[in-house]
Amino acid sequence: MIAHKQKKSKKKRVLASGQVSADVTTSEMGLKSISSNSIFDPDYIKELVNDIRKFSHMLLYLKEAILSDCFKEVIHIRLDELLRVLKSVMNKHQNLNSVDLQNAAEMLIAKVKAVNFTEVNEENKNDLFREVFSSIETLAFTFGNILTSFLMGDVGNDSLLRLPVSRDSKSFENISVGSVDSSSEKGNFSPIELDNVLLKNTDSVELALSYAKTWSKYTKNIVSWVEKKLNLELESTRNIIKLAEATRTNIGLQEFMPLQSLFTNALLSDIESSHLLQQTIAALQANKFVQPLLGRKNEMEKQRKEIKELWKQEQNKMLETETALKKAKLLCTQRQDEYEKAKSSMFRAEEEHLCSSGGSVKNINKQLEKKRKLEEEALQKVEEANELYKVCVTNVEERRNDLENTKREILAQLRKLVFQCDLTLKAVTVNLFQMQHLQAASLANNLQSLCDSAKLYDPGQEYSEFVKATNSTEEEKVDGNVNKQLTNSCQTSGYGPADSLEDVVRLPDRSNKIEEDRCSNSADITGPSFIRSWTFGMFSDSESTGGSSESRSLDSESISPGDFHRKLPRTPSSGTMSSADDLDEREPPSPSEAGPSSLGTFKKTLMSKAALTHKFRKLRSPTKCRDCESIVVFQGVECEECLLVCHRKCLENLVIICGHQKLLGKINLFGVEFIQVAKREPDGIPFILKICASEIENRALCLQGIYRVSGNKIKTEKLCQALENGMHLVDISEFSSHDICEVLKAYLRQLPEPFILFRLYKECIDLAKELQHVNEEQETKKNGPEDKKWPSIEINRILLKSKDLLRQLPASNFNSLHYLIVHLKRVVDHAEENKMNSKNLGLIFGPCLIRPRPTAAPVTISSLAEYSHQARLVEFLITYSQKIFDGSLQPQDVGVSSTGVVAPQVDQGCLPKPVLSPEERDPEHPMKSLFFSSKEDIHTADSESKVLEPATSFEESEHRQNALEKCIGNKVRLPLDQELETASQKMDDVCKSPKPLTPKFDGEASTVERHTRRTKVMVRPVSLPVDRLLLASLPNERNGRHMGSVNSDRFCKSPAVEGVNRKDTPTTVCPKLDGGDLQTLQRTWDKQYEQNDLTANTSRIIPSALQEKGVTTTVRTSGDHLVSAIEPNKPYTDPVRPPREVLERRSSDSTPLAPVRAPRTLQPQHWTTFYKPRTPGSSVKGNVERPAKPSAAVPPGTTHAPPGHVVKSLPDSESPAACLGQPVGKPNNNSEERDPPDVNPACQRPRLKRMQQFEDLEDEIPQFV
Amino acid sequence: MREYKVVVLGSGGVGKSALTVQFVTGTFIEKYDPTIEDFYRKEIEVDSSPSVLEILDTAGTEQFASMRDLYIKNGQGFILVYSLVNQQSFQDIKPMRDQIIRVKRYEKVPVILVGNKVDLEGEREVPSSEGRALAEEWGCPFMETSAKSKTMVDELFAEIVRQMNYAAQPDKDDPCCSACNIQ
Repeated sequence: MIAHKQKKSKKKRVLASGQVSADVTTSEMGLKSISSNSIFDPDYIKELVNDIRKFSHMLLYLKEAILSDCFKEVIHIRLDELLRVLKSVMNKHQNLNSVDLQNAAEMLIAKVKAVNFTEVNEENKNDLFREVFSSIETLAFTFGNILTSFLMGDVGNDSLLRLPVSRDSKSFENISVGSVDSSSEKGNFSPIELDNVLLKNTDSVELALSYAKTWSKYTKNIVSWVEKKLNLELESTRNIIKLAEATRTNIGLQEFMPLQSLFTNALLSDIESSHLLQQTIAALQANKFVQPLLGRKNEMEKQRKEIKELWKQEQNKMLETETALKKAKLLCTQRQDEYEKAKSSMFRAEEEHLCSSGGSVKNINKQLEKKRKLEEEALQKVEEANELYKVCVTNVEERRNDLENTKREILAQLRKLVFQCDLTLKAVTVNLFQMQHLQAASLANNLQSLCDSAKLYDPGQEYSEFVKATNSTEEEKVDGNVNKQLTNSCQTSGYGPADSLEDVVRLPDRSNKIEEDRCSNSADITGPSFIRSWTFGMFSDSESTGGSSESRSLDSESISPGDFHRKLPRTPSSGTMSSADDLDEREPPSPSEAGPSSLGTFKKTLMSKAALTHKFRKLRSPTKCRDCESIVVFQGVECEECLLVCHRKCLENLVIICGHQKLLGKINLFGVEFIQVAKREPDGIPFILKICASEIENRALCLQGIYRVSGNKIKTEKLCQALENGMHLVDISEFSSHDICEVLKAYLRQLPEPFILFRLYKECIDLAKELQHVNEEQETKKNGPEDKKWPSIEINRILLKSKDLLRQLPASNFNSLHYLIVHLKRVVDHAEENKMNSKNLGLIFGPCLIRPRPTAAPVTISSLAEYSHQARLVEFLITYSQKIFDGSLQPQDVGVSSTGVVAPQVDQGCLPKPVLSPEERDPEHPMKSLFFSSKEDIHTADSESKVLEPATSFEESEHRQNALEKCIGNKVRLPLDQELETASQKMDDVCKSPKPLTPKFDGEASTVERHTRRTKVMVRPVSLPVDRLLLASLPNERNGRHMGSVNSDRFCKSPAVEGVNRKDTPTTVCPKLDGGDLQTLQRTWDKQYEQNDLTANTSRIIPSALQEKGVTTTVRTSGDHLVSAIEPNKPYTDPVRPPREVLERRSSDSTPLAPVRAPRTLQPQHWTTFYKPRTPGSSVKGNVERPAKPSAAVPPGTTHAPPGHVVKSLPDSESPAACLGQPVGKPNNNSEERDPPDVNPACQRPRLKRMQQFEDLEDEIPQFV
Repeated sequence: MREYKVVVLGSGGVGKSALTVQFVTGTFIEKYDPTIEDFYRKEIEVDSSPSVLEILDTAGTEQFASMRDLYIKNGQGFILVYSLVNQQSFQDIKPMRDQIIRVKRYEKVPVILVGNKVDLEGEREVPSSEGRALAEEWGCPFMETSAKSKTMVDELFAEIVRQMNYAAQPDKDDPCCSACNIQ
C-alpha cells in the first residue's frame, strides 16, 4: 500500500519533472538519447504510468492473496504474474532496469518459496508471511527509488547498473522458472498427502471443482488455438502445393537452367512435405490431439458436474442431520425443564403434607401421589429426550463421517480426473510438438541438403552445357562474345586485384540469368567477389525475362530481336549497347560504380533504374541537363564515365543508361531520313526498331490490342526525346508497352520516306489489288480446304512478285522491313491472346510502311481507298513473312558492292513486271490518276490519257531516281562511267524498240541539248495533230513505258542530273510567282487534269502550244542526255491546259469515277448524300477541285498568300516534288516556265491543306449534295 | 425527314464500331478489327419525329488521324468515345474535342462524351465523376454505355439527335453552321 502510494506520488512527479529530466544523463549518450527522446514524449509517459500502475496492482494482489486465503497455488500464480509484469516493465523501460530491482525480486521469490504452506494457519500466518511482506515492501521501495532516480535524471550515474535486456530477461526467466519449479516440487505430494492437505480445508471440494472447471476452460482455449492454427496451416499447405506444382511445370519447360534439378527437388520436397504436413494436421485434428483432448474435457465436465451434485447432496444431508440434532437438543432441554418443574412441585407437595399432618391427609396423599406421578412422567420424558438427543448426536457424528468420507472420495475422484486429464493433455501436447518437430526436422534436413547441393553448383556450368547442346556455330559466336566481352570488361573496369579479375573473367561467359542465380546463391558462398556480385543481382533481376527470351530466340533460326544482341559482334569502341542485356553483362566488372559509395549522398530510392548505372560526381561547370534540357548550375551531377549531366532531381526520371564512354550528342531520330540512323548500325536496322520490338516481344506479346491501343501522349513524347537523346542506352523497361508501340508507330509514321520506298508504292498497290482480286476469286470459288492449305498458284505468283519487289529496296530498308515484319509475325502468332491478327496489324502498319509520296498527303478521303490496299499488302507480308523473307538479312554494305547488286535488281524488278502486269495495270491507271493529286499522278494521267506514254515506268523511274539520290546522299557513289555506259546502252534499246514514236524522238534526241525540250515541245503539238498523236501513242504505250522506266532509271542515276534538278527547283519557284495568271491557270489545270479522261487531255495541246510560244526565257542546262528524248511529250502536256475546259469538265467528271470507291463502306449508295468525298471519284474531286477553284478565282498574288504555310510544308512537299517532277520534266524539254506549273502543285498542296482546315469549304459541299 | 450526320470519334480500341454496330444492327461484334472508316445509315424516331442518322464510324488508330479533319468537317454531331477501362483513351479524347472546335471554328458543336465498356465495371480506370466533370466543362451530355450489353446505346444516339436539333435552332444564321444545317 505504501509502495503504491509512493508510486502515485512519483507519477505526479513524472509529469512535473519534465524540465528536470531534460538534462538526464549527459554522460551516457545512449541513455540520453532514449530518455531525452522519451521523456518529452507524452505518450511514453502515459505508457510508463500505466505500466507502473499495473505493477503496483500486481503487488497488491499478491498481498491480498497472502492475507486472505494463503493457498500456495494462488500465491504462486500471483507472484508469477507480478514477475511477468515487472519483466515487461523493465523490458519496455530499460532505464528502470537495475540490479537492485532484480535483487529485490529475487529476494521476494526466495521468501515465498521458503514459506511452508502446510504449517500455515490463522495464528502463525502473520509470522510466517512477515518476511514475505517485508520483501514485497523492499521490492516496491526499490522500484520506487529507481523510478524516482530515473525521472530525476540520475539513473546513468547511479550505482544501479543498467543491464542489457537480454541478460536481464534471462535472469528473470530463471526466476520465474524457479518459482514454478518450487511450486511443483512442493506440489509433488503423494496423492494421499494431497488429499489430506485438501481435506484439512473446509471448502476443498469447491476448490478442486473450480480447478477442474478452469482446467476445462483452459483446455478449451488450447484446443481452439490448435484447431485454428491447424486450419491455417492446412490452407497454406494447400496453397504451397498448388504453387509448387505450377512452378514445377513452368520450370520444367526451361532447359539448361542453372540449379534446375535442385529447384525441382526443392519443389518436389516442398510438395512432399506439404502432403506430409497435411497428414500430420489431419492426424492432429483426429486422434492425436484435438479429439482426445476434447473427449477428455467433456468427460471432465461431466464428472465434475456429477461430483458437484453428489457433494451438494451430501452437504444437504449433513445439514439435515445437524438440524435434527439441534431439534433433539432443544427437546432435551425442554424436557429437562419440565421434569425440573414437576420435581419441584412434588417437593412442595410433600412439604405441605408434612406440615399439615392431620387434617385432610387423604387429600394430601392424593395430591402427593399425583405429583409423584407427574414427576416420574417428566423424568421419563427427560430420559426419552436424552435418548433422542444421543441418537441425534450419533447421527450427526455418522453423517459427518460420511461427509468426510464423501469428501475424501470426491477429492480422490477429482484428483484422479485431473490426473487423467493432465495425462491426456500431456500426451496430446507431446504428440503435437513431436509431430511438428518431425515435420520441421525433415524440412530442415531437406533444406540443409538443398543448401549443400546448391553450394556444389559451379556457376556457368549449365550455360556451357547449353552452349554445347546448341550448334557449333552458335558456340563460336558466343565465344567471340566472351572474348570481346572479356577484354572489354577488363578495360572498362581496370581491376587490379587478382581475385576480382578472376571474377571478371568468370562473369562474362554466363548469361545474366545464370549470373542472377549465382547472385542468389552467393548468400551461401562467402567471399568478397560474391558479395559484390550480389549487388548487381539487384539491378539485373528485372532483365531476367530478357535473358530468357534471348535463349528462346536462339532456338529459332530466323531473326528475332533477341538474336541480334547475340549474333552481332559487339563493338565496344563505338559505344553501342543495344539492349539491357548488354548492360547486364557489362556491368558486373565495375560493381562499385553502382554501389552506394560512389553515389555518395544521392539516395538510391530517388534514382531511376537507369540512373543507378551511372557513376555520378558533382558537376563542375554549368551545362545542359540531359534529361530536362534546361541549364544545370547547382544541384547537378555528372557521370564520370559517360559525362552525362543531369539535375539531381532528374535522376528520378533519367532513362539513359551509362554507356561507359562519352555519351554521344543528341541525334535527330523522328522525322529524319531513316538511313541516317540506319547507317550507324552494322545491319542497317535502326536501333529504335530493335529496342522497341525486343521489348515488346519480351513482355507484351499477349497484351490485348498491342499496337492498336494508343499510348500515353506525355510518356510517348518523353520516350521519343529520350531515344533521340540516349539512343541505345535508353532503358525503355520503365515505359508501358503501349507507349513503346506508340513510339515505334510514330517513328515509322514520321519517316520522310517509309521502308517501302515511294518509288515502289505504285507497284505495291498494284500488288495489293492483285491480291484482293485473288482473294476475292478464291472466296467466290470456295474451293475447299485444299486451297487454303497451300497458297494457290496465284498467291505464289504474288509471293514471287512481292519478293522481287522488296528486293529492289536498299539493303538497310529491306533488313529493317524484314525485322519489323518478322516481329509483327510474332505478335500475330499470339493473336489469340492479343487479338491482333495480321489483318489488324496490316491496317495499323499499312500507312506506316507503304504510303504514297507526301505530295498526296494533304489528306483527302481518296487516300482511304489506298489505306485498304496498304493494309492488305502489309497483312500479306506478315502472313507470308516466312516465305517472303526466307533468306537472312542483306549485307548492309551499300557502298560499291551494292550498286552492282542494286542495279541488276532494279532491272529484274522492272523488266519482268511489264510482262506480268500490263493487263492489270491498264485499267487501274485512270483510277490511280484520279486518286492522286500528286504531281507524279499528273504525269501519269498525262501520259496515259494523252500520249499514252510510259506513265508508270516514268513514275518508277522517278522513284528510282529518288532512291538513288538518297543512296548518293548516303555516300553511295555510283561509278559514273559504268552507269553512263549502261544508260546509253539502255538508250539504244529504247531507241530501237518503240516503233512509231522513237524514231521521232531519236532524231530529236540526237540533236537536242537540254533546252531543246522547248523546241521539242513546240514541235510536238504543231507537228502532230491531236488525234493522231493519240492514236500513234496508243499502241506504243506498253513498250514505251517499260523502256522509259529503264531509261529514266539509268539516267537518273547520274549525279549530274540530280544536280541540275536541285538547282532548278528554287529558281523556278520565283518566276512562277511572276507568272501570275498563267500559273494559276496551270495550277488549276494540274488539279483538274487528274480527273480528266483522255479526251479532255487531248484538247489541251493547242493551248499548250500557244503558251509555249509566249514563253521565251530558256534555261540552258548542259543537256547530257539523249534519254530525254523519250519523254518530251510528257512534260509539255502538263502545264498546258485551258482553264475553261477544265471548268466545264469538272462537273462531268464525277460520274465516270463514281464506281471506284472505298471497299469498306457498308452502304456506299449513301455516300453521295452525306459523304460525298468518300467515293474515291468524288473525293478526288472534292479535294482537288476545291483548292483549284479558289486559286483560280483569286488573283495570282493571293495564291501564295499563306507563305508561312507554304514555306513550312515545302520541305515535305517540295523536295519530293522536285525530285519527282523536275528530273523528268527538266531534262526533257521543260523550260523555266514549264517548271512553275510542275512545282506549283507541290507548293500549293500544303497551302491547300491549310485551306481545308481554315477556310470554309461549305460552299463546296452544296455542289455535290 | 431530317438527316443527321454523326461522327464517332475516339482513340483505338475503345469500341466505336461496337457501339455503332450495336445501334444499327442490334448485335455486338466480337471481332477486334481496327476500322479504317465505315458508314452506316439508320432511321430512328426521336421525340416523335422521324430522322435519318448517317453515322460515320472512324479509325481510332493514330495512323489515320490525318483523316480526322475531314470527318469533322463533314459531321454535324460528334460522339466522343473513350473506354472507361483505359485512362489513356480518356486523355486522348480531349485533343479530339479541341480539334472539333478548331475545325468547326465554333464552340457549341453538338458533342456527347461517352464512356464505353461499362460492363467491365471491375476493371474501370476512369471514374464516372471524371467523365462527368469533363462533360460539364465542355457543356455537353455525358453517358456511360456498353456496346456489349447494349446499355444506353439507343439513348446515346437519340441524345445526339436532340443535341443536333438543339444546336441547329438558335444558330441558324451562324455562317459556320450553314454547312451543318440541312435546309
